[in-house]
Amino acid sequence: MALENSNPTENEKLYIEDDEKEQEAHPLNTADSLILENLDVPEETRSEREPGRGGVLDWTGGPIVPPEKDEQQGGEAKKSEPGIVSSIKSGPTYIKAAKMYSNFVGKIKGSSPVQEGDVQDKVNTPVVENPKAPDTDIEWIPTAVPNDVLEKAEREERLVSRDKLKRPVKDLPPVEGAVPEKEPEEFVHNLSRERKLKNPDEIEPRIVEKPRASVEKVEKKLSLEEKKNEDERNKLSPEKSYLGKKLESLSTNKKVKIAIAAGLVGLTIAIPVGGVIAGCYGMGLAQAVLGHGFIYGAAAETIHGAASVALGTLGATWALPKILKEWRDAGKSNSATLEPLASESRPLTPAEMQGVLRESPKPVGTETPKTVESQEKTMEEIMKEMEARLASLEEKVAKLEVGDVKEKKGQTDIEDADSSFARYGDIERYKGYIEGLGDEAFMEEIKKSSEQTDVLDKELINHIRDIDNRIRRAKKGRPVFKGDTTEKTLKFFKDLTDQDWTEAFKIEDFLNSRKLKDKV
Amino acid sequence: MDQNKIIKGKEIDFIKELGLEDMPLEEQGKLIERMANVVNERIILKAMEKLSDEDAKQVNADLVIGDTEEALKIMDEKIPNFDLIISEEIEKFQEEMLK
Repeated sequence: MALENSNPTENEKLYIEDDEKEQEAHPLNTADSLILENLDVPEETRSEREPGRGGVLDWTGGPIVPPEKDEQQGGEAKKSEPGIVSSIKSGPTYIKAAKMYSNFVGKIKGSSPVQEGDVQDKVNTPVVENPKAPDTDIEWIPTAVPNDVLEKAEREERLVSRDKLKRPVKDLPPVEGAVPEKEPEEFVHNLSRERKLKNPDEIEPRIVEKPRASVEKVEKKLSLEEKKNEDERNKLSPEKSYLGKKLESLSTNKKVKIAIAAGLVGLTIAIPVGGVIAGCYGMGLAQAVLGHGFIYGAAAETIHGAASVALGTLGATWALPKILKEWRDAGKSNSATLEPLASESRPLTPAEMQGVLRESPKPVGTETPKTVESQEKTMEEIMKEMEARLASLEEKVAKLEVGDVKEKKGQTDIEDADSSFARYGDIERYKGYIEGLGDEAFMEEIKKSSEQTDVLDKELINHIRDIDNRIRRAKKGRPVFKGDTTEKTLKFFKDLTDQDWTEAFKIEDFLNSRKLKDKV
Repeated sequence: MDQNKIIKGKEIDFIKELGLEDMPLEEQGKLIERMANVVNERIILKAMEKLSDEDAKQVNADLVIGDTEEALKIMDEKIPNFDLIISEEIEKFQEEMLK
C-alpha cells in the first residue's frame, strides 16, 4: 500500500530534494537502501532512492551480497517477516537498530511506507514531541523495531567489530547519529603514531612539556642560588666558615632540613623544644651522636581535619611531595602543622609510610616516643664498649714488637692499624684490623656512628691521626713521605695545636687517650 | 622551655605554583631537597652574620670539646628569633623562585 504523499508540503519537497542530492553525491551511502531492501519497501518507491539495484551494498564497507545468492545456492532468500517487531527494548544492538530505524523513518516521513500500522503511527509522530531516551542522544526511540532492522543492526555490529580488528577505525564510514565508539587501543596507538609523524606537536602530550620547561627553569634558578651561597661562604672568616660548615653538616638530612622543605611546600613545622637552634641543631647533634638510622615521627594536624603523618628523617624530604599529593587527593588542605617527635630508630619503609598516611588521626602529644636520653644511654654503652675494645687492641699492640705481625703471612699490619684504627670514618680498614676481636653487629653500629657523628670532629681527628702516623713512622725510620723526620713531623703537630681554632681542643687528653704523649 | 616554635613559609602549593606537579614524585622530592639545601645554607649564612668572629670561635671551641649545650646556648643568645629567620628565608626563597 502506497503511503507516498502525492502532495508534499514545501518542507517535504525541500527534504526530498536534499535527499536526492545526497544520493547523487554519495551513491554508496546505502544505509537507507540496506534498510529498504530488508523492510520490503515497495519497489516503485525503492527504485527512486536506491543507488543500485539487485543487491545489498553493505554500507560498513563489506562485500556486496546479492540477495539472489542464497536462492542460487538452493536456499530461499532469508527475509524477516514484515510486521513482526522486536520485543527487545534495550541493549546496544537495540539502540543501534532503533537509531537506524528512526533515522530511516525520519527520512521517509510522509513519503515511503515501511510497515503498516505501528510504523505509520511513528512516521506521523513529530520528533519534538518525544523526549530523549534516558542515557542516549537519540531523540526518538521507537518502542519497537522490525526484526529485520534488529538483525541488520546485529550483523553490522559484528562486521564493525570484525573490521575494527582489520583496519583503522578512521576508514569506516560514519554512522549517522551513532554514538561515537571508543577506538580499540591498538588503533589508538597506530593512529597516534601516524599523527605523530604528521604533526608531532599535536600528539606530544602537553603534560610532558610543561614540567620539563618548569624543571629547567627551577634548576637554573637553583644553580644560581647555589653559586650565590658559595660566594657568600667564601667571604666568611675562618671561624665562621668552620662553624657554618659544622652546622650545615649537622643539619643536613636532619630536622632543620625537613622543616625547611616542609615550609617550602606549604606545610608548617612546630618544633616542641627549647631554643630553636638547640631544637634544630642540638637535637640533630644528639641524634647524630647516636649514629643510628633514626627517624622523626611527625604527627600532623591539618586545618581541615586531622591526619597523622610520619616523616622518616632520612627520607622525609622526598616523601613530602608524596604526602602532599595524598592530602590533596583526599581533599585535605595543603597546610598542616607537623610536630616532630622521636618515635623509632630507623627510617620508615615505603609500606609503613603508606600505613601511617592512612592511619587514623592521633592527638598530638599522646604518643610515647623513645626519648633522646634513652637513646643516648644506649649510645653511651656502645661508646664504652668501643673504647674497651680499642683499649684491648692498644694493649695488644703495645706488647708487639715491630715486625712481629708482618712476618706472619696474611696478617694485617698491626702497626698501621694502631695509627689508623681511631679513624672512625675509615671503618672498613678498622674492621679489618680488629678482625676477630669484634662482631658484625658491633661493627655495624660503629660504622653507622662514624657516618653521622660530628661530635669528635672527624676531620680534626683524622688530621691529627695522619700527623701521628707520620711521627711514628718517622721515628721508626720508615717515613710515610720522603723527607719526613721526627723533628719535622713533630712540628706539624705543634703547628696544628697552636692554631686558634684548635686551642680549645683537649690535646693532652687526646694524646693520653691514644698513649701518644710520651712518644710525642 | 619554649614550646612549639613555628617554622613556616607561605602556605601555598609551591610545587604546583612552580609547575612541577606533573613530575614524578621522586623527582619532585629531589628538587625540594635541593631547594631545602639552598635555604639551609642561606639560614646558616644569616646566622653567621649575627655572630661575631669571637662568638664563632667560642662556639667552635665548645663544639670541638663536645660541650654542645654551651655552644648552642651562645648561639641562642646571639641569634634570637631563629625560627623567624628560618621562616623568613623560606618565604623569601619561595618568592624568588616564583618570580
